Amino acid sequence: MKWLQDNLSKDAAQQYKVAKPFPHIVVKDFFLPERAINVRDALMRDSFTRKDTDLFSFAQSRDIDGTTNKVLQTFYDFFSSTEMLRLVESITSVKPLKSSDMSGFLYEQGDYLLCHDDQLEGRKVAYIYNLSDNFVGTDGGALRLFSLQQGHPMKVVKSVLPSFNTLTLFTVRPDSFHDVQEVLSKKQRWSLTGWFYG
Amino acid sequence: MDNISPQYTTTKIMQQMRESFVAGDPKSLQLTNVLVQPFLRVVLQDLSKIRWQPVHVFDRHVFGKAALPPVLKEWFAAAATKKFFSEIMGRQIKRIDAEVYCFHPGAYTLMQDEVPIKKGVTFELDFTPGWDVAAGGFTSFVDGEEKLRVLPGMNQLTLVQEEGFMQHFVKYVKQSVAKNPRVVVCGLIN
Repeated sequence: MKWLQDNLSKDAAQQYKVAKPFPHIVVKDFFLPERAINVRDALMRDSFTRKDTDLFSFAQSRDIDGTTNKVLQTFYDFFSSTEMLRLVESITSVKPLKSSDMSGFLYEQGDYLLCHDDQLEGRKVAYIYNLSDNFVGTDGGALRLFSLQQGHPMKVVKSVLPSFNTLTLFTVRPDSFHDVQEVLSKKQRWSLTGWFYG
Repeated sequence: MDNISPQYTTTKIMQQMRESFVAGDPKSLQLTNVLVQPFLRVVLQDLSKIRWQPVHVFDRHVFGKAALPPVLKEWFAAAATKKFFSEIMGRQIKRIDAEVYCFHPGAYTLMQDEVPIKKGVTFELDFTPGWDVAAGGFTSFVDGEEKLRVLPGMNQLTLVQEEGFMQHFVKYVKQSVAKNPRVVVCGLIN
């Protein structure tokens, strides 16, 4: 089954490497559109649980690996396949990547994820595969990347608004501070998110 | 007891407050309408003139901060105020350290991985009118699980004994809900 749109820029690896404030890339129209629509529709039918701590407020699905939802399982099987791992290695130059995990996330009005670095044992590359209808600035919900001053994230230097069928990758490292801005409008922010492990 | 509402200054009430504080798990006490109205008006006037210093350390906290306005600085330093806190806690207190915070929409504090073991009484003196609970902005005291939640209020004093590995955080103030900031004097009683 073909999944990829094959529209990746030839200099994607270079773009990733030089991106500030830490290596990352945002690839629009990453998967074939009809596949992306199927995955989004399947995700919207999945069950979600509200999560609320000091750091976040959102709804999360169960681990997609092992889901009874066939469309999502098929998508996850591709996402964790050798073909996908090698592709991510070629973009990020982080290797070897051995596995990945995936959960669905739904942010509704007032939901957010505050600033953190994602560091946990084994996590090498973080990804956010966005399945929301296109957001504008006043909707909020942007993935925001921070620069450091005196070892702490002090300033937002890049904002990535949710955009349908867009894959964002970034290297997990001590300075990879990011957040998800509060969703300010009635729009829903749907994504499949996880990490590639080394 | 200068400027403390008379309902809290009789000997009998003092004893009840002390018993209530000690009986709490965690040890805690909340008093509403704690300052007398004329003094409250002066305090609110001074608080409204504060120029907040923004503190944006995004992996720890985001808020506005300021030194205590003179009227509150004097009040916390007064022997009568220290006596009031001593009566509630059942022991002589030496000093009260406090600053005033503005939790505006988008503000928060996070718990930290490394928690120093604390022994002291945290207090919050809130000056926030008409808070919508859906906005967040409450203080959550956590020791494994949430032990106590302090909702913003007006003229409201909360004392909490923080022992062992207890931590607290202020929940993110939702921009989509909050119409005004939470203004609160926070500090530690030693």
